[in-house]
Amino acid sequence: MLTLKSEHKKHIHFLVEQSTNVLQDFCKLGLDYLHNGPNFKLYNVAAQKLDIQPEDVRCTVEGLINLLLESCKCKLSTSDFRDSIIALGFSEDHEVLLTKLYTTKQSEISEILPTLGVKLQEYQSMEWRFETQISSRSLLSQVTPLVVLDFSLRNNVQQKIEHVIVQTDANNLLHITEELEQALQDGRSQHLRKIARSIR
Amino acid sequence: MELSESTVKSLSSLQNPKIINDVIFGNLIDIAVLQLCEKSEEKYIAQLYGSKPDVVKEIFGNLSSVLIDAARLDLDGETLSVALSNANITGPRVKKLCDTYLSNKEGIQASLSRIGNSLPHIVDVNWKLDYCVKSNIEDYIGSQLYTIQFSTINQGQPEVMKFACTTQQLQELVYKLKDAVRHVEKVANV
Repeated sequence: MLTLKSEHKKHIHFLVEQSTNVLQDFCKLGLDYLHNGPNFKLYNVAAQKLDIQPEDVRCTVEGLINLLLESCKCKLSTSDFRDSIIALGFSEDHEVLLTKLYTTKQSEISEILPTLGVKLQEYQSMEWRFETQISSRSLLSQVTPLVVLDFSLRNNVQQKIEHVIVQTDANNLLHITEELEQALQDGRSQHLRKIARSIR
Repeated sequence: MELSESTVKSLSSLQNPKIINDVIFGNLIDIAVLQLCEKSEEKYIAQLYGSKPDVVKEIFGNLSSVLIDAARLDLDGETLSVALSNANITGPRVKKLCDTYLSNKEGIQASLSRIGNSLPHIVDVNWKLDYCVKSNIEDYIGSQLYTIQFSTINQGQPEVMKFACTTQQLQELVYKLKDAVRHVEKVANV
């Protein structure tokens, strides 16, 4: 079950007293928020219709979005969500609308959530090229085999892909490959499974 | 190989036992080679100055430049001796010079190959496996997260390159690296 902060409850509570049509409009405003971000023009129009302050409309829309986020955060199942909505005082007609909104957006929001939060830049892909250095200013004839690696890393703060280009020689390439293979194997170890089980 | 006027002059004086005696000649060659191979820690040219520091310094510089140029052009001992005799530098010491050059050519070339610009060079990797439990964004995560840190050398300075990846992403990376290893092995066996 969901527990909301009192202020959040107050924002949501406005919706409990509204008709189904009004709630539907707020669901639409919520969807628009999710796709395009806040739109104050729409809030002004809605506020005039309902004869309330635009600020209240904004709080209500954000409260609705926050309700969705919190529910996704707790990974509520549809029935858990339904129970939480009823507990907040919504009627059954309202509950149907809100549950529909939740089920359509749940997977999308749950996908986005893990990309937020603390994280280093994340591996996206890697391209490699094998080359041989045959000459340089200080050594006119040489045969130096090199592997150039182009790492695409996603910077989660700026949402940008950064390229880091490095090189390595055959020995080190073999070494890092073996080392990372070992890392993968350890990720499937009994030890790790035991820890995963005990935390669950 | 082209020799400049001052190099020819210095190398000619090097052949003259009245200017440079045998002991100093031997030391000069040894120290030059040690320095070029980046092994010199104890022996310094300052020990050799004696009464003619300017002459010794000049000879040392020119001797080093001949050794470097020969290694740069990948000359063998004989070609070097021919090049020197074309500049009228002959004598018993030329043979000793060419022999020392030949036996240290690889070391000098190894030093030369380290000069120049290149991309950051990976020399090692560290990895860490975390089991994520909970964050302020998500109540239950339950996923594995690898942190990979490559140690690189960039222009002689150690640097690190760090990123995170999931098990699938690491699997993909390892596949690609193995692919590269296979290719390198294939080339090596041709």
